[in-house]
Amino acid sequence: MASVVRRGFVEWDLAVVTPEVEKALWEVGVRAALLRAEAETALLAPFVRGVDVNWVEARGRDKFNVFVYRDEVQIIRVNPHAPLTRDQVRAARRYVKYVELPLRPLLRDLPLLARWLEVLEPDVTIFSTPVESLRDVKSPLDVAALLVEVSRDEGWVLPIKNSLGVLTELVAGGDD
Amino acid sequence: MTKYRYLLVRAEDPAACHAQLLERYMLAGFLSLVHAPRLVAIYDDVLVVGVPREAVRAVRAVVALLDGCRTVKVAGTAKRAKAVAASIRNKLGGLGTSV
Repeated sequence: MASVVRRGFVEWDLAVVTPEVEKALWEVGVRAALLRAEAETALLAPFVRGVDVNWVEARGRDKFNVFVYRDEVQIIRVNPHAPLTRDQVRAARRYVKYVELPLRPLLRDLPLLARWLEVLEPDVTIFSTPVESLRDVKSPLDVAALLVEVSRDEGWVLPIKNSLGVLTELVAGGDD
Repeated sequence: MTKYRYLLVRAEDPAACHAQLLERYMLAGFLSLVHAPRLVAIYDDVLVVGVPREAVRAVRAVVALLDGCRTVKVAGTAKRAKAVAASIRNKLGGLGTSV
């Protein structure tokens, strides 16, 4: 596992790049972002999905089981409304895949978020927001506080605190 | 004496954000019944609110749930919080102007 990089956070799903959104993200400590398509950024270090990092979207559980064995896949984005099983998460860890959980729909359904936190493991999970407008910008530390409060497990600060470390690892791993 | 920490919360509508925060302040636990949150000031788009140090994490978790609100800084004193808020606020009407 990568060492912990503390100086900044990653927004894993930046859908809309505007100067206001970038400024707001910078203000809450975000230093790098994964974009959906190539775009100019002024403040954040830009990485592009499918170019710098290989990812797939698994809408259902059975799709997940297919992707988890694929070598080139690095991130599997899951459907927040269909929690995985513990075995699936273990498989993801065994095959070195990160599980991307979009947070926004879960903020309105905390019981579901709690169910997710029960099966996921902090060191193979990344939380994307996604950010489609200025209103969607969340402070990563607020989110970390929420994860810890909901799960009662201090370990859940790790995916937030170490997000730059994970991104670095993914980008480096994508080259070979 | 209970130590307070002061959260600087940037929001589109800081007054609404404060109201929602108060509604859910009980989530901070029994502590919330004993120590009320302190509304320090609202500077344009920045809300400054003081909460007991032990409740900071719970209150930040609440902020994460609110639409369009985010904690941008935490200060140790009300005076410091006001100074920082005054310097980072975005004057309403003008875009991106900061004093």
